[in-house]
Formats: sequence, C-alpha cells, structure tokens
Amino acid sequence: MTEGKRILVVDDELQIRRLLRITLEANGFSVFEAATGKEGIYKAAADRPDVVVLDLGLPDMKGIDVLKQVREWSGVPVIILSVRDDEKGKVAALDAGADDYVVKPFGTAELVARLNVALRHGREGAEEIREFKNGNLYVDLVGRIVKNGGAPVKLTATEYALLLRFVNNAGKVLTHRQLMKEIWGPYREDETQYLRVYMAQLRKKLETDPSRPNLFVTEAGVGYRMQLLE
Amino acid sequence: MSDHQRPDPDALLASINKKRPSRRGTLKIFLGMCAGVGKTYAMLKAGRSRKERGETVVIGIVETHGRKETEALLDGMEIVPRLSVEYKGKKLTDLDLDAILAREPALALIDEMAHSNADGMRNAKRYMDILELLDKGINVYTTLNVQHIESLVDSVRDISGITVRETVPDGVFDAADEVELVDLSPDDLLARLREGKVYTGDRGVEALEHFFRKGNLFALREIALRKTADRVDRALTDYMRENRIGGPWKTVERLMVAIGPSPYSQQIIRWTRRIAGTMDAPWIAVHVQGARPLSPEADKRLKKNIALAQELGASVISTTGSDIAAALLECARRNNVTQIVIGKSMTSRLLDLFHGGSLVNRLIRESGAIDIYVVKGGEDDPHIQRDQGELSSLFSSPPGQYLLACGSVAAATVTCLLASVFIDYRSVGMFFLFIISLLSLVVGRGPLFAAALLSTLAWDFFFIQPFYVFSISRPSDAALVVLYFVVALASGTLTSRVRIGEVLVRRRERNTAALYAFVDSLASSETSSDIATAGVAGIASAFGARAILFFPENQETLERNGQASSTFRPGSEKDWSVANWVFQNGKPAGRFTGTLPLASATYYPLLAHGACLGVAGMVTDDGGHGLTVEQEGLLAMFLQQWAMALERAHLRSEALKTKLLEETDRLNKTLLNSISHELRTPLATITGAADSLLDPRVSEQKQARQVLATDIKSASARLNRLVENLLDMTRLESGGLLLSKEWCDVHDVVNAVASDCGEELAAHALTISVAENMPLVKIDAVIVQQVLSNILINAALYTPPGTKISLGCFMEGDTLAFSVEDEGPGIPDDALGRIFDKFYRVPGTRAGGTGLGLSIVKGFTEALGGTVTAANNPSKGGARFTVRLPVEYKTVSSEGDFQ
Repeated sequence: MTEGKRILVVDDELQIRRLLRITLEANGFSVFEAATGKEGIYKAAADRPDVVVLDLGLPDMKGIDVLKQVREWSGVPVIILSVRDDEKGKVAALDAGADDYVVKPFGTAELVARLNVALRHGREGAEEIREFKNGNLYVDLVGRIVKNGGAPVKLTATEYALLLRFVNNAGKVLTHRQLMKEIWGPYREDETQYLRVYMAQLRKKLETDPSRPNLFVTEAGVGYRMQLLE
Repeated sequence: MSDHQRPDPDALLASINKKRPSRRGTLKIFLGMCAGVGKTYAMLKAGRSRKERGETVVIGIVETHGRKETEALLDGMEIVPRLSVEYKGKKLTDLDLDAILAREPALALIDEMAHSNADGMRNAKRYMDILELLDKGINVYTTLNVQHIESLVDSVRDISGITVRETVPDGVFDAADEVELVDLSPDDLLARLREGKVYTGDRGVEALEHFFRKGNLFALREIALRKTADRVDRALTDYMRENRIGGPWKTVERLMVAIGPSPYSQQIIRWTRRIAGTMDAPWIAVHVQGARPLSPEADKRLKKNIALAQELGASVISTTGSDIAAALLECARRNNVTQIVIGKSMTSRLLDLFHGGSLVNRLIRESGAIDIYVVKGGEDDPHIQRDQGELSSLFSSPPGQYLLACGSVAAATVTCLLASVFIDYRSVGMFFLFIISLLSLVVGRGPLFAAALLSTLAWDFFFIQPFYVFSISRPSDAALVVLYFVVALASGTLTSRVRIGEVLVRRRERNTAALYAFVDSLASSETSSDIATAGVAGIASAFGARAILFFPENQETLERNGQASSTFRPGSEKDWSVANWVFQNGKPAGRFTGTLPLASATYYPLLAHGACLGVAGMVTDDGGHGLTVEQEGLLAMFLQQWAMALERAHLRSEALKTKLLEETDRLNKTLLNSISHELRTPLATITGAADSLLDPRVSEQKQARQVLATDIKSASARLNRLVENLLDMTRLESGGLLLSKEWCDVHDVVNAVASDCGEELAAHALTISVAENMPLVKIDAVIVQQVLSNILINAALYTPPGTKISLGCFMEGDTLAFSVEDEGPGIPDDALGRIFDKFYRVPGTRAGGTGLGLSIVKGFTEALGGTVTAANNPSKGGARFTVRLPVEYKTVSSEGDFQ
C-alpha cells in the first residue's frame, strides 16, 4: 500500500530530514526534502507529493502560513510536526486544514502510522464506505447498524452522527471545533460541554472498558481520535 | 614635608568642592560701584566675544535703559523672550527661566543680579534663578552694584542714607567663580550722567541730586574696590593653601551672634557676617526662646532675622531657657565659640534688676575666655520702627491678671479695715505679703509689680499713722514700708521666675513627648507606605496641619499622586511642580518661603545622607501665618526623623532585594549542578550506545543492537522529561503561563494521564477511581494532566517496583480534588514542609532527579488557583498527595437532543 508513495519532508533541521529519509525509505516510501517554507511550497507544487510532513517552526516563514498557501490549491494530506505545550498551534493548524500532527520528539512508528492513515484518507476521499470494522466495533453504514462485540447498540441521532465523523476519519485526530461545527453547526462551536457529554455516551455504549477508553482517545487540548485497533 | 606644614584637610576639601569638575556652571559677576559705570556694556562685550568663539550665548535679560551704545551690542545676539505673567490683574514680564533651561546655552547673560522677581514667578529673587541655571550646568554672566551685597547694606545706608531693599546674599557673591570690577572714576561718571548717557530725560537730574553726589560715589567706589581686593586676597590664600605654601594661617576663630525678634538684630547679623568674612571664620547665630510665646508680629520679625542669618551663611541654632545669658554661654561653649557678638542692650536699669544684672554685664562677667563684642544698634535709622522692647513684654500680661491683682489688694484692704479693731498694722503688712505670695503663683510679673506697689500704698494710706495720707510720720515705719515693698517684689519675682522656668520645661517636655510619640509611631512602621501614613498622622496631631507625602517616581520626578494616606490634596498641577522643584533642588519651597510662595502649601524635602527620599507638603489650618520659630524647629526634627525612617525602610527593602538576589544565585548554582548531572547521564548513555552501534562487531549481533537501541530510547525519554520540566519551570517563572479553560470530562483527564505515564508506571500497579456522577468541570486539561503526571511519576520514582499507586478524583463541594496515594516509605516528617521547594530532594533518596517535578506541580496548581498538599498515610504508610482546584462545574444531560 505504501509502495512508491512520495513524501515531502519540510524541516530546517538536516538531522531530522536525514532520520526521516532513512526511516521512511526503509518503510517503502520515497522521500524528497525541503529546508525552507518557500522551497516546501515550491516542491509541493512541482513534485506533487502524496503526503507532506511539515515542521511548524521554520526559519523563513511560519509553518501555518506554508500550510495555508498549499491549501489554496491542493488537498494533499499534511502532517504537522509540533512541540508539546503548543496546543493552540496544533489546533490552529488542524483547523487550517492539516490532517494530523506528531509531537516532537516522536517515535518513527507513530509517524508511519499517521502517514498511512493520511494516505488512506487521501486516496479514499472520494470513495464510499459501506462497512466499517475496528476492534469490537462494527458499523453498517448502509443499514445504519452499529454493533459492539457482535451485540447491536442503539444510538441516538446525534450519537450516530458523531460516530460517523469518526468512522470517516478513522485514525485521524478531529478537533473539538471541527466536531462541533459538523454536528451542531457553526454557531455552537464553542459549547464543547455538549460534545463531552456525547463522547461519554458513545464511550459508554461502544468502548470495551468505558473507564479506560481505547477506541475514542482524548487528545488533551486538541480533540479526539478514533484509534485504529488490530 | 614637616607635619605642621600639612594643609588642613577640611580646607583642602572645601577647595576641591569649589572647583568641582561636575557640570555646574561658572558664575562671573560684573561688579560696579553704582549704576552707569558700564557693567551691562562690559558684560555684553564679554558675551559677544564668547559667542565669536563659537559658543552658544543667549541673553536672558538685559536692561539697556535706552542707552545707545549698549543697545548696539544687542545686535545679532540671541535674546530669550521674556515671560509674561498675569498677577492680580497686572501684566508683568520677567526672566523666562524655563525657556533658558530648555535652550541649554553654554552661557546666559542676565542683567541685575539683585532684582526681585515679579510675583507669580518661580523664585522670589533673580539670583535664585541664576543659581538654578548654574546647577543645571549653564554658565552665567551677571551684573551687580556693590550696594546690593547684603552685608554692605548698613555701610551703604550710612554713606548714602538709602536703605537698599534688593540684596544678594554674601554667600552667593563669594561663591562666584570670577568677579570683574567695572570701574569708572566719579568725575567721569558724573560727566556721563550730565551727558544723559546713564539716565535719559529728567530722571538724570533727579538721580544727580539724590544718589550721585560726589562724596557718595567716592565712598561706594572704595567699598567696591575693597570688596574686590578682599576676593583677590582670598583667592591668593586659597592658592597658597592648596599648594602647601607656609604662611601665617589664621587661628581658628568661631563667632556667635545672639539674635532676637528686634529689628536691630539685622544690623548685628550683617556686622557679624562682615567680621566673620574678614577673619575667614565660621559663625553661628543663636536665638534663645523664652517662656513667653512671641506675638505674631515679633515672631515674623524673628523669622526674618533667622532667614537673614541663614542667607548670610550662618548656621542657626535655636535654644530655650529663661536665663538668656546662661543659655547663650552654654551654647557658645558647646560650639567652641571664641567670640560672641551682641547688640547694645536697650533695656532699662529697672529691667536689669529683674534679670539679675544686664545681659551684657552678665555675659562679660561670666564669659571667661570668650571675647564679647557689644555692637550698637542703629537708633538713628528712621526707617526702623522702634520696638517697644523687652520692657513692654515684661508687663504685657492679660488685663484680667491686672484686674485680679488690683481686686485682691482691694479685697485684702477691705478685710483688714474691717478687722483693724483686732489687729495692728504690722499684721496687716504680713497679710498683704501673704496675698502677694499667693498672687505670684497665678499672675505675671507686671500685675505682681502693680499689686506690690498698690498694697504698699494702701498699707500706708489706711493703716499707718497718719491715716488717710500718703506720708509716714515714724522713721521706723518708713523703713518698714520700704522693706515691705522690696520683699514683696523680690519674693513675687522669684516665684514667678520659677513658674516661668516650669512653663519652659513643660513646653520642652511637650515637644519632646510629641517627638517621641512621632518617632515611636515611625519605628513601628515597616514599609515605606506605613511610614508615610504614620508621618502624615504625626504631623497632623503635632501641628494641627494637613500633610501630603510624595515619593519619587524616578531620579527626576515625583509620583504625581501623593501617598494614599495624605490628608491634603493640592488643588492644582502647580503644587505638584513646586513639590517636584523641592525634590530636584533639595530645598523647601512654597508658601511662606522665598521660592514659589504662591503655592497653596509649604513643601519640604525629606533628606537623608544627601538623598531626597520624598517631599512632604503641609498646610496649616490657621490660615494667615505659617509656623512659629519654635514650631519650625520642631518640624525640622520631625522631618529629619521621617526621612531617617524612610531611609531605614529603603535600606531594608534593598537588603531584602540583595537577599533575594543571593537566593536566586544559590538556586541558579543548584540548577547548574543538578542539571549538569541530569543532562550528562542520559547523554553519556546515548553517546556510548551510538558508538557501540557504529562498531561492526557489536552491530552484527541483533540482540546487542536491540538492547542498545532500547537504551538510547529510554535515555532520550529521560532527557526529554528533563527538558520539559525545565521549560515548564521557565514558563511558570516568566509568568508566561496562559490558561485556556474548557469544559472537560474528568474521566478523559484521568485516562489521558494514565496513558501518558504508561512507561514510567510500567513497574507499578495503577488503580484509578473516579467518583460517581462527576459533573463536567471547566479546567485547563493540559495543565491539570501535567500536574497529575508529575505526581504519579514522582510516586513511581520513589516507591519500590510492584507496589500499588492509586489515583482518585472526586468533588469536595465546589472544589475538584485529585489524590495520589502510594505504598512506599512515605516522606520524612521534617521534609514534608520542603518537598515542594525548588531543587529540594529528600536526603538519602536515590540518585537521579532534579528536585523540579514537585515544585512544578506546586507552580501549576497555584497558577490554576488551587492548592497541593502532601501527607503520610498514618494507617497504611506511604505518601498521599492531594490537589484541590476551585472549579466551575455543571451537570449536562444529553436527554432530548439539541435543537
């Protein structure tokens, strides 16, 4: 699945670029690099990468501005390299169209997993999912049937709408704002308390152990992610 | 060099101060014997030549009096426009001091140094303006007529009959860096005058008749020449002293002049200054406060005399005592005075009797080694109203006392008349004496004298034969009556003197008590603002005045709004600028002073060791006149104490700052020590592992590669945690921590923490318990997670592997609480109080760790508005940490979907 996928790495640190090149090439990706934001924008246009890995701290321009410029003409999946303590920066980048983020220092396994998720969504963007399976969760999107470990689960309309968002973005982080906006519309974006309540409900109904959820994972200060389970 | 040739250190210091290389400007005075000799002309010429040399020269003020030659010299010079002020409807123009200060020229030309400024200007006198310019580093050329020098006023009056009112203190004249005498022979001057070159029009003729008589001019010229020669002489002495040239140094003389409210004091002060000047001796002026408070009039005159003495360079001492001679001599001895100057006594013989001899005689008799100068006051001066003198003050008791005295005598007479059948006239005398003794306890000396006289007459008239006439037939009776009068007077006077002494002691006691109370209240105040409050209150109670205290905002200005505790607020911006002037110049100003007298309050600098720590403003409620001399003395002491208290607070806060710096320094050192160890250990692991991986013999073995890679990973994790802790601490200390609170499900928070710390807690069993029905809480989830993971990791680090750690979450009323319990050894009791301190590590714990984790916990918790406590579990052992956060919370149900 990853064979020959082209990854553009935009980072000013030579060592990080080298590390990513070695790791990603070992995982079957082909990698090309850019050391500045301008070079990154140019290469994103010229080389048509399948995924962009973008560092938010670049010397010549802000990473988020690189992202916004790329988004003006391209829907290419973008994964942000961010630092801890910068939840606002992450959320801003995600809301500006980034697909996911990885916090420095990161493990390469984590990055590869994120890349794969991003690639899948990039490819499946237009495709229709009829059936979804993840761990004990089973969703029949056509028949609107949800099962947990084989047992049918009844969801309210809102719960189902919320679940659909996760199913369509499995493995990807979704910000509070994105979820609120898509479920309750743009005017209630900031009333995240409802989201908390519905997430708790979903967990209660769908998690194997609701007190230690591993399906719907909280990303503190950012949002939620549906973890891909084997 | 032989020892006796060594120059006096004080003198050397004085000469160093004189030519201080600081930015103070130099003053050159063009001195003339009178108007018309060409001082302004000479000054302008000198100014022009400085300008031609390329310096910025401005004309501050020049009066040409319409003289053509002088006016020609103004051509092409920069003239600073005069400032016009309106005062009481009149429009006045004068020197614009601020404009010159703002222009900052190298040299300012300012005519007529002795000029009195228009009302409403900042300074009362032009020479004060000049001093301010000099202070700000601007050089000044100015002109002065010799008759305007303060100590020469009397001499000039003696010569010309004119009393000069506009004067310049000798100190200012003496401090000039250069004096140039502009000389013209009287004949030439008179010729110029006749030609109309000095005064234009009729004024010339008038002036000729009055002031410019040839005799006058000769005398004035001589004074001017002598004054200049004096300066030259002194300059030579200074030079010799500086260069250690041996010579007949003057012996150390010290003069003291006794001053009082009398207008003659002024002449005596000037006389003393002249003598002190020629002897090059320091001098002091002493005022002895008697028991009787001075009338407002006399007090005003006394203040004027004191101000004059200060202006002329005396240090003024105020002392109290009913016996003036004794007080003066005591003061003289204490200050090593060699010569005392007093005015020729105007008191009468009768008064001398009361004083136990005239003041002069007593001083001469009791002075010992001290020389006494007796100087005549100028009775022939028609301008000075003769004072009623001490004699009147002696008898100036309230009329009520006279009435009481006379009434008592009358009553005693009537009583004795009624009883005359039973008692003989000698007993009547004894009875009168008794009455006089009683009276002396309540009335002053005047009424007592009256009572003594009256009773003598009554005794003679009614009781001594022949009756009802003022004559005495028997010589023995006559002797008795005379004796009676003397005894009555003497005993009465003695008693009354004791009483006056008592009054003085009481007053002194009252002042001391007030001062003591003041010092006491200051001493019990710690901070500057407490001291400000105590000071304002103390001044209010001691002087019945309202006060304000300004603290400095920076080096140059005061804070605009005085201290909060001030009991008086200046009505206008102007008062603030007056206070600011006081701050910058370190001298009092405002109401009742010579500087900016139109302000609504009087402002005093609070000086301690040369630094001005603040400015106190004061308004007395009695309106009209300011403080009496006695009160001013007391106020000076108050202000001194106040300043000292402020300095103390200042020093204390400085010391505190130093201590804080030392503490920071210590922390930094600890940081370096601890961090360098903590940084090096994982770095060493990583470097070593990487080196091994590069070695082909090692990298060929798969197992070795795995082990090394795992080592690198865990060392990096450790390094990363350290860096994050350091960053957290920096964020906390820089105050850059921004909270973003959001509605959260505590389950989320707790689970996130558990998964965050998964690796660190791998060896322990973590149990989580969240109370039932927890509401949604509004918190900064990221920060709370960091707090909890730090506590959990701390627990994992300090408890044996395999033990249990439990994390709990519950509500305590409106407070969200988290608890972390472990089954480790617990925390030693003496360490409980310190474990949240930065870099503190419980002694004897395992190596590794910086002592930062828990201090960050505390910092974050406090930033969230909460508290964190540590305790030992008394039953099971182990430590228990509890974090409590005040939170907004609500229970939201999802029943019925949103619309």
